[in-house]
Amino acid sequence: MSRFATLLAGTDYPARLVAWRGDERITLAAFRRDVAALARHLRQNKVQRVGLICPDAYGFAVGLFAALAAGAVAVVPSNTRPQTLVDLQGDTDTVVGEHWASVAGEAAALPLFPASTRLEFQTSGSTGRPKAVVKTLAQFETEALALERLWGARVAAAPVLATVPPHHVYGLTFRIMWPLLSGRAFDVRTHDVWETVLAALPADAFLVSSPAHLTRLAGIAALAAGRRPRLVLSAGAPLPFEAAREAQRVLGRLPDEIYGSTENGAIATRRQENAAMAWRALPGVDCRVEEAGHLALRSPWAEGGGWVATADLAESGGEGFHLRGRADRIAKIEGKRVGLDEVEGHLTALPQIDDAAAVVLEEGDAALLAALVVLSPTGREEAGSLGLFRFTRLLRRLLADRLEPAGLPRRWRIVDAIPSTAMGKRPAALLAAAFVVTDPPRLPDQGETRRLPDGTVEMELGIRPDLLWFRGHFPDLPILPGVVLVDWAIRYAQCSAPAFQIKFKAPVLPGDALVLTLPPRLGKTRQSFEYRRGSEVVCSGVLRWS
Amino acid sequence: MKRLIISALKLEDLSPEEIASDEPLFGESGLGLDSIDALELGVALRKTFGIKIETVSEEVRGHFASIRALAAFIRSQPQESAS
Repeated sequence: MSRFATLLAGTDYPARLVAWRGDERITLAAFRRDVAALARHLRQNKVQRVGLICPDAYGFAVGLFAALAAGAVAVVPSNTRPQTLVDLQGDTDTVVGEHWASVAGEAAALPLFPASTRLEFQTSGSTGRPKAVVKTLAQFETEALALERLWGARVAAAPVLATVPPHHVYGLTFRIMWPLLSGRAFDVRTHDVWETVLAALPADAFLVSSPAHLTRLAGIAALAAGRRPRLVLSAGAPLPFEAAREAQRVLGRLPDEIYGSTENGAIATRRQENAAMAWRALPGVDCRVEEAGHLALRSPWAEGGGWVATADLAESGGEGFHLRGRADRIAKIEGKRVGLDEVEGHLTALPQIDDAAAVVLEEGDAALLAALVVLSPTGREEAGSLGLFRFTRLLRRLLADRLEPAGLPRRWRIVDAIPSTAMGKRPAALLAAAFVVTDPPRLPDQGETRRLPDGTVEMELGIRPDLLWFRGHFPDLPILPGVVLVDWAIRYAQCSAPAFQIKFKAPVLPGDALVLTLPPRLGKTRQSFEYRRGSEVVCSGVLRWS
Repeated sequence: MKRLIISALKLEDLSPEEIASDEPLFGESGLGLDSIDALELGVALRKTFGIKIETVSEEVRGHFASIRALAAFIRSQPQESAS
């Protein structure tokens, strides 16, 4: 018998808090009532497959357990994009979404359901078509109990806040399944931005997050000691070391990371006390690196209980293993699984596009999805009338019917043909080469720098015509904005100057050769400067600071 | 503000002149920025203007609605110089 079934059919602890929505508190009694009422409705309609799309984590949980109690298979889509939902409707007998409460009727006794009850997850498959992963409730129960043994004491009674949606297996396990079985309450909202997380963060919370959010903490003041979460979890992709440090600074906790997958649930964990921290298998899980470099595992909550190989590449070391990317064309973008073949398939299906290739670019610590596209005549026409940015955003919107934001390319190159080898292959390195950007330069060419006997510094500066600053300022008459000259003076004088006086005597034009003169500082808080073109002074001024 | 958005969100193929001050930044009808862009924009505002948004959420969406709304929001913040 499923532990969830026992929990739901019982009558004990009616006042236990299950979830909260703003100021609203939802008790176990209300949860039992809602599940029973919806289950009865589903049973009366003899549904076999129930799609779950409710963005509210409580509504999602009600739909899930009502479906299971009604003897149906719960079907969880990989995202909640419009076209995915249309496909889901075709694939199921009914879909439980935001309006779950309006279809629920009167409550009835809840039938007990076995732990062998099935859930089906649609994920990005490497073939470009969604792949269904079937799991049993028993797998989730076993995993939740293992998590409780590992972290329960540290988390104590912490309420759960999340930045990951409930329809991802990580979100479902950590913000719904585990809290329900362990008696913790969860926030029904999925927080998009840190501002709302911080506004809603109760004391002693437990934060279920991912690299998408944890890499974007810059500029947030460190939380007061009393507001620090007890546990910060990150899953979806490895967290860059710097982001782990930043999370420790702001949130007061070094995140505990989880490596796992839809198929196998949580597999290993690490806390990046240093940059070379290895992943260690969770208690009860065995991991090994196979000959081809694939990571294989054996886990009580993975299917079958025997050894299964993953498409993740790994190396043994540090009493565990280090992850080394994927062996197939599945990318991890913002912690989400993105099938490159799938993205290409959707791109080429658009009337604007004749051919397409998707590639992952590494930008700093982040992985970024990019696309090379060959346009159709329709596409060329629209690109011409909309402008490139709006055109590529239009393409993103069209794709957004089927792909979630992580699956939408953020960099685009319009090409006459997709680069390929003589064998017709399209290796990633060749595709990525198309994206090497030469950002328009922001600084002048630096010529000779002279230091005169009195300490005055003279710098020769070549005003390149391709400077960013000449773009779009006065399209017909490119002149260098005066503020740029001040900015350069501040930069080359190596001071910070919140105040300045300046006189512009002549415009600076593309191709000019200037000399910047920086006399010795006037006291400790003033620096004068002068730009000359030959003998003509084009600009002079004083920088002041305190 | 337009330049900040273009550089902070690393938007290619877009010049400041192409962004209208009152067009929606997010969603289908305007510039088409998404949830990742919103996170990045939060970072840029904190770094550039030292802004701390700790008031409640629904207002946050309003502040991020357009260039004009963002500019008005930043002007309304107590001056806490970023440098």
